[in-house]
Amino acid sequence: MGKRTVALLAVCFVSIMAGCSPGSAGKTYKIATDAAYAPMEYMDKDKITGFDIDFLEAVMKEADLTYKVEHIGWDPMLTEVQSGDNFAAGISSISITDERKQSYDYSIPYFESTNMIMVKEDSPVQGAVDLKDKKVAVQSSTTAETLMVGIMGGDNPDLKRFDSNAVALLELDTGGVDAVVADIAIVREYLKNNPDKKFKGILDPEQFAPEFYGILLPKGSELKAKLDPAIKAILENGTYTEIYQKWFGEEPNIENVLNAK
Amino acid sequence: MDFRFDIIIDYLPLLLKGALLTIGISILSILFGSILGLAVVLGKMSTSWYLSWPMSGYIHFFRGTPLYVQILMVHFGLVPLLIGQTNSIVAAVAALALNSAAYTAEIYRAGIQSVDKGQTEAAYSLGMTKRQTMRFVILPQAIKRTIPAFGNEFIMLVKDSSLVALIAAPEIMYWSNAMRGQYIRVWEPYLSAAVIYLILTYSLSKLLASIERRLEG
Amino acid sequence: MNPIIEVIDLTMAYGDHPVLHQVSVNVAKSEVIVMIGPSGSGKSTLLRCLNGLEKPQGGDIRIEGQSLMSPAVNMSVIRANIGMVFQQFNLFPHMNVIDNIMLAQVQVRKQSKEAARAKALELLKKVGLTDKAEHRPSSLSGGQAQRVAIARALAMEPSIMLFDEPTSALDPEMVGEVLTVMKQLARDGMTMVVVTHEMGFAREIGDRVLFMEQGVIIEEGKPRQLFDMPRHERTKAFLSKVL
Repeated sequence: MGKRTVALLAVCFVSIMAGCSPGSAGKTYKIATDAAYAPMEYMDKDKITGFDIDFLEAVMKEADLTYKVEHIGWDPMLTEVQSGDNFAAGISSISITDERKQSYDYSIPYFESTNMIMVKEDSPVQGAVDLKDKKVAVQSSTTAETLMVGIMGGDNPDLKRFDSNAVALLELDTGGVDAVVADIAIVREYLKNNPDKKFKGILDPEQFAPEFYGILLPKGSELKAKLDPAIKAILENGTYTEIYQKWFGEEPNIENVLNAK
Repeated sequence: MDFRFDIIIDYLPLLLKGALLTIGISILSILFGSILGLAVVLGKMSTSWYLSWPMSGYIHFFRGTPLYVQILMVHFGLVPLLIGQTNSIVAAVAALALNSAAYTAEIYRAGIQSVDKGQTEAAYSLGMTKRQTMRFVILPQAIKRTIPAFGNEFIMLVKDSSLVALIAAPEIMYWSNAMRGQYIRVWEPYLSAAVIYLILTYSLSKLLASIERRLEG
Repeated sequence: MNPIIEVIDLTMAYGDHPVLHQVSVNVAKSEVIVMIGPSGSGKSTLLRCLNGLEKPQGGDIRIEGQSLMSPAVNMSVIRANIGMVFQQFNLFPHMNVIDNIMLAQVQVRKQSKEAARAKALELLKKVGLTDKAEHRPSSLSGGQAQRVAIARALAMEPSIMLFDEPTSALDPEMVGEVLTVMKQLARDGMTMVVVTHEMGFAREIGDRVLFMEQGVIIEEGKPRQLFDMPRHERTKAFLSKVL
């Protein structure tokens, strides 16, 4: 390879890097996400989109803050937000749990979700307890995994943890498992997109209590004081309802979200 | 099985853009990796223990731990340490180059050891130092012999680069994960990624074969 | 006159297999020493000790008064002054003939390329291979390759030349051309130590012949005396097999 080719490559490389590095003019908050969770947050080609993204836009506008969302993946997001050096916050359908609160701060809850069971239409499964001796697929590091570990046992070989819900759902589709447990939004999106596949969703409010999503913040973040009032405001002034309807075609239960602790 | 070509068409421009980055990352990584690998092997084969031990350790570490973990360590440890912030493309090249250096070091070693001992003795007998012998006599012969192995390493590296999607470097796998996330489907994104990798590695092996032929001739 | 090479009580072993046992020998300037003996007798090892390719465990070697066993010795400097020719030629296959001869001149003696090239061409003329200057070693016959190897060693203008079985790997019809070059060198007054099975050469050119066996010099003397009137039984036994 000639010296000139090498130099050319180096130039290309530097320009690629420059394209990726964020502009640092003014106070711009960098928000991390794992945009692989349609319809909550996902890549539509090279644009990050989804409910969370629209919601964040409304919140930041209300709080009058400049920000930039970057898709950096789940594990990097957790690491980055914990240190707080590069990213001020993370938004990615992150359920508020006590375990996570040991390492992070959260905004007030902004979204009510629950886990849903997806099985074949002719499955005898009625609720979570019926899954005890079935084969179940979940996405790892989700609350679905935590719940199913509680029901089936962490060392149960029939509990299969996958890297993504897409693979977990494919496992169900190809008969490797009897059920998938995932966020209700994911299951509904899948059912909507695949009406001919003869799957159904089952809710089990007793076993799968409602969960609330919050914006993930580093411990002691100054941002919390700015975000919380803004979230409260858009929940109350109808902006939130508008976004919710746009993405899910139904009314949100605002009271539940506001009253969640 | 239903197969949605329309979503592949949708994502094709991005997958191709990702392929360009994959090519860029791979070329830079093999380049830096082979330079670093040479330094590593010369250190390892040195008679001074304070050079050979660390280099030996280097090779053991990078060959003995998962690339997956190395990428995370470089992304969250090394790169922020050096440039003050994370940068997925820098981390991708650094991790792949560091990893590949350990493998190319072993390729060099095999090449150097395959050169007849008489060559070293002849050079020594002419009064050449160890360094001169290595540079003018051993390495030119060794490197020519390592070219086929380098080709394999390069092809492995192109495929291994798919792991940097983990830190969101926007290469082929990253865009196919994005497709997977948007449509919650598996076959379309993964198979289209596989086809692109296949085209890349096939062209690469053809290219390497022709380079080898030219060197033979 | 001081000897140019002094070997004093040289002892060496590979593990617990002794190779050289208290070997002592002196070589005077312009002397041609021929070492003969059965394979494994230690004669090649002794030769390789003289330019430090082997490291003896005991005794001493002095080249022009400089001890090779001294920790301060710079082997590269010593070696630049001692040419060596190997059984397998050991030409550098990735370089042309002329570059083989120029390399060490430029890198070690710090000659200019022009001077090195002129010297190389002069030596190629001397060994009768001017037309092969731009050839690759792989295109040469064994005899030609060995003559190039001799030219390469001579380019360093050494005061001593070591030959380690220089004709053993050659087809019989090529032995002559190499021996001719060596004879010329001896006549020019080069100090030479030669390990060989060519008894005719030893007889014709050798000033002194050493017969070695099992790491010991059994007998040494003028060729005529050693070949025609060997004193030692083992020398007789060896000569009766090879002559």
